[in-house]
Amino acid sequence: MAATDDILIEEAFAQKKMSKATFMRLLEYVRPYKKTFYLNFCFTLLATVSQLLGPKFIQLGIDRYLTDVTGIDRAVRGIFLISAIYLANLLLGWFLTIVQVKSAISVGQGAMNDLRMAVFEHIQRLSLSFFDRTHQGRIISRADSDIDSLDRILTWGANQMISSALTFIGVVILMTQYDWRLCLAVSIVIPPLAIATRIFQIYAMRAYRKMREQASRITAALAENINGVRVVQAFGREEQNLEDFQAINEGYAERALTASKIFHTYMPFVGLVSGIATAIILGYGSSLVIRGSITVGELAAFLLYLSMFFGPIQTMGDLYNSLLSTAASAERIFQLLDTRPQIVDKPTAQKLPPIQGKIVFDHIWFRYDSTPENEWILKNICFETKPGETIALVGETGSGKTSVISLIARFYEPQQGKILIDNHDISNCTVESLRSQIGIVTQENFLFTGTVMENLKFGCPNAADEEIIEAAKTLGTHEIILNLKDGYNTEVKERGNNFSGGERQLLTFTRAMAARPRILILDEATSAVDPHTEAISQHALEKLFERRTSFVIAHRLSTVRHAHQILVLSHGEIIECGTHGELLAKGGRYSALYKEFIRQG
Amino acid sequence: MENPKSKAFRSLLGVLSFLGKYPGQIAICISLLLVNISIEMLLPQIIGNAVTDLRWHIQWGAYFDRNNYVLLVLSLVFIRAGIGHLLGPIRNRIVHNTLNDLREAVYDAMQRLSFSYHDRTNSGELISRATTDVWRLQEFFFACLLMVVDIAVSLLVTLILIWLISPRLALITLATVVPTASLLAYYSKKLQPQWRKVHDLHSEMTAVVQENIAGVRVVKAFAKESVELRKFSTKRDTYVDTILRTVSYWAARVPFAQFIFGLGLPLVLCVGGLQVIRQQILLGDLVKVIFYLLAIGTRMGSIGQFTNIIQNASASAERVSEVLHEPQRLKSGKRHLPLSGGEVVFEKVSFEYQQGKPSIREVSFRAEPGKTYAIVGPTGSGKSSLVHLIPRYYDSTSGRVLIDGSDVRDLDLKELRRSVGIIFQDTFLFSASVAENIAYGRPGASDAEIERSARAAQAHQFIQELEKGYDTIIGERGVTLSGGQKQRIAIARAFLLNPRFLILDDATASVDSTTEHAIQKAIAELSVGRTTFIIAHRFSTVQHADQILVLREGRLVETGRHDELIKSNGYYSEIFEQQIQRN
Repeated sequence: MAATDDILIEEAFAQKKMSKATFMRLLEYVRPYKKTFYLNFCFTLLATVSQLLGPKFIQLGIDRYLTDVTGIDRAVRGIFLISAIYLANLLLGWFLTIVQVKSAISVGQGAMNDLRMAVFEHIQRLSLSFFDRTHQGRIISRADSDIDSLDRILTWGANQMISSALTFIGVVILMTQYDWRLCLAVSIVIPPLAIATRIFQIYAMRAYRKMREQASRITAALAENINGVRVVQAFGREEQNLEDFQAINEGYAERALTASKIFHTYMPFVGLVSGIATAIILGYGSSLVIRGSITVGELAAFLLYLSMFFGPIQTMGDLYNSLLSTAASAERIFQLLDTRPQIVDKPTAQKLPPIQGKIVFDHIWFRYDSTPENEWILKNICFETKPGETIALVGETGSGKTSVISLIARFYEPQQGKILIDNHDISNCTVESLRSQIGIVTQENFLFTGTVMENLKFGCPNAADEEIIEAAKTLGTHEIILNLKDGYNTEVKERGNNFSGGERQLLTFTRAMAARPRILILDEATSAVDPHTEAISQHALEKLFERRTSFVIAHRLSTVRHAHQILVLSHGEIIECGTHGELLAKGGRYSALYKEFIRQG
Repeated sequence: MENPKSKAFRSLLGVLSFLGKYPGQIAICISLLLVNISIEMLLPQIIGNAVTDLRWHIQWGAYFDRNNYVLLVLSLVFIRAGIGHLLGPIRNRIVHNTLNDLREAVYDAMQRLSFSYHDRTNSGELISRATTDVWRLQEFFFACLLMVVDIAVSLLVTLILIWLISPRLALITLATVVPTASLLAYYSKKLQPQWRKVHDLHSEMTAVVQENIAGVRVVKAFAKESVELRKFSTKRDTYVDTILRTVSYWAARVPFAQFIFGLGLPLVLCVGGLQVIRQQILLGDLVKVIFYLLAIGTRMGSIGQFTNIIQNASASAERVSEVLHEPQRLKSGKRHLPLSGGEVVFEKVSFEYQQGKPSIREVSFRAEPGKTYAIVGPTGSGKSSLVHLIPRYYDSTSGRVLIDGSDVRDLDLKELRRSVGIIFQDTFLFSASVAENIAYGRPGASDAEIERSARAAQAHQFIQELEKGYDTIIGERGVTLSGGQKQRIAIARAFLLNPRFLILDDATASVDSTTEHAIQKAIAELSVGRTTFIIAHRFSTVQHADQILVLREGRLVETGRHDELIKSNGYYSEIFEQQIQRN
């Protein structure tokens, strides 16, 4: 259900056109760089003018000195002079280009990076419920490829728009000055060219999109078969896979051919149009020369300006396309920025003083955003712990164990009821002061890239190495870490994939220990590890539970047995509560679960 | 030591040789290109001649027929358009066919390379060789097929044509073209590592974002959002610095090269102008030279681009060639498996996974057809290595592994592997329908057979409950299954092969008890009549085996039934005691 919704949302975005509001909002990010932007505008203007002057110099040279046979000396001097001016103009153009490029990039990159920071910052503020309902890849692509796709528009967009518009206008003005009839005659080719350009862009965009889709299919097929290469070989599928792969490749070549046909219909057409324009200038222009309406130099200038005529039309069409295709990206980014974090500190929020460890759940009712109305994940949960107790949560999947521990760290807020820590309502405390006193170890055992030491310091960046080592020694994980490739300096690869599950677990234990939490929350791992590691992690757990209130979603017999309180959950309710002995004597749900534990061994 | 440059060059040539399959099409492509270049070289001639004729017509009333020129230009541009329309798709066909050949060669090499190659090679790295590097070579092929010929021929012909008009003007052209081309080539060579750095920094920045989002629960749990923000902004700052520095380098130099080339026009105007005034050349000739310069100008930009492409391509070609020429492939034997059997014999088998670090030491045992063998021992004792030698995922370093009397190295590899059903520690399923996944080893299997396997694997029930039953797409891009469900599909997949041998590589690691029960049942069913090897940590699984092989540091230290081993009070009973105690 959720997945289909996601796809619908995505498709709805893809349909979107750049609205004025979105565009204006993008411009907001350029505003801080207003001055540089204006500078860029001026220099682009000047650079364009300088470029437009080139053919003019040639025309002047031809008409004034090369076709005028009176006085060789005057002609020689004149041609020297005009060439010198031309040269100076080039020098000026060089200088203008440098400033133009530098200013454009500093505006574009500045805006891009502000946007990047804004998105990243906002993601940090969002609550877990957002991450629950939004696919991870989608969030990443907003912070990453969506922003990158704005680069073209933000960095070069304005620049190219200005210079192509000015070039086009400048060429028309200069041509009209020479002879408006010839200019009009040449302009005949513009409408078909503009129409062809638009049609081409629509078809090309479609064709290239299809190409990209097929390209990603190639990558996906490759990635999957390389990741699963052991299964491929174990089942002897090599030949069949090669055939399948060939079919995908062939599909790509087909699509590339379609795109190429479109492209190579359009480009030769542009060449044809410019050839026709040349023919018009030669034909009609020469009769104008014979009639004396224009000079030979002006005829040559017309031909030279012709080569500057088509570029701007193509560039502007191109930009329009970019604008359309970035609309979706911009919309997605702004939608993310507009998502409000659900858990924010109240204006009156106070810092939670050092926690003693008395925790009270007072008539808690809770459901997730995604839970249907009228259905509760937790129903009227009440319990109380004393400082330093270990509380084991047991119950089948979906009984609400994880929700209980998530509420303690205020990852979510209950719809009704209060959670008190040392008699402080946690919704009146700052999130930072609460979470920094809670140590959480989840089953996923996530590690960051960097060294082992950096990972262990994650919760306490200012701790000295010795303190970390001390924590590891207390837990009994010091030896294990020393046995890693480079001890504490071992590099952690992406998500800690270079460690075994057992090692990752021990590292996350140590990370939690090093942060010296006042409350420990632990989701015990279910996977079996070898006896040696198991023994170490058993010991580490006992150390972790010492002297702090601990909540454990228990999968191990020993944890359950030694807990001060066991809460048995079923369908969001606490159905039994007590110590191991009490509950066993009662002969209820817990004793049934316990037998299951034993049987599993 | 081989010169790295010559190695890169050889790789490029090796990759280029893939074009050799299409000589006819390449010849057509180049001939068409030459026709178009000729047309382009003719146009300035026509314009120049028109100007000359026009001047003479005005001055002395010489005959001037504009229709001639108009018709000539029109017919030439029509031909040019027609050829352009033909040429593009032909070239595109050649390049993409070549790329497909190359990509398939790389892909096939990868899927056939031995397990040990894949163990030490990062899969992401391999994927990028088959994708990114091959895409880069695409540019290279396009460049080789058109750009090189276009640049070289146009430059040469233009220079000759200008020379014919005036050697002096040709020298001026040469004096601007040569420095511009070398500068552009030099700059792009200098810039390339900088751009690569920009690119790398960008990936680093992205990696921070990705990791932050993937680990969001940890970040929130430790309330370390501000630290993450700092981490990100540091990365971002370095990135911005580098990109601005790189662009500044570009902005300070590349326009200079363009400026040098631009000098050609005023110089030609001046020197050529003087020649016109002194009546050494005609005005029309000067116009020709100006248009030729314009034609060269559009090609100058391509030179820097070309240098870039070659540099990119040579690195990519090297990486691709490495895969293509990687020697680590297992050679299949020729002997066929006997029609029935199921015996496995290890004769003093040792295996070194890394040189000098044996993971199996002189292991000998005989497994009888149809019986179940459990393999136990601590992590790193060589359990997985041992079973992986049976389907020859690796070759033993010394000793022999015999299957039904034949050394596995003499057996037909495909036949051997298909006689072994394996359930890996990490269940890998493909992004395909449930049915396709089950039929992975036998793509032609009927629906009835697939369902029978699924039933035997205790998977039929939950598959039917999926939205589209057996047609439900699973894997990365489909429905997410639980660990237990995946495992049962993997069991069904092995079942359908009807293998003679069965290997369970610690298959029941992390599932709840009900699922585990179902899986146990499925495995029991699957192992009937097959020689089975089970690696497991749980003693409940191990107890029922016909024989238990106890490994310690690569050696087979004990063998026997559960009760025998307990009685003998050895290593096995020691670890068994430990586990009992903890519970």
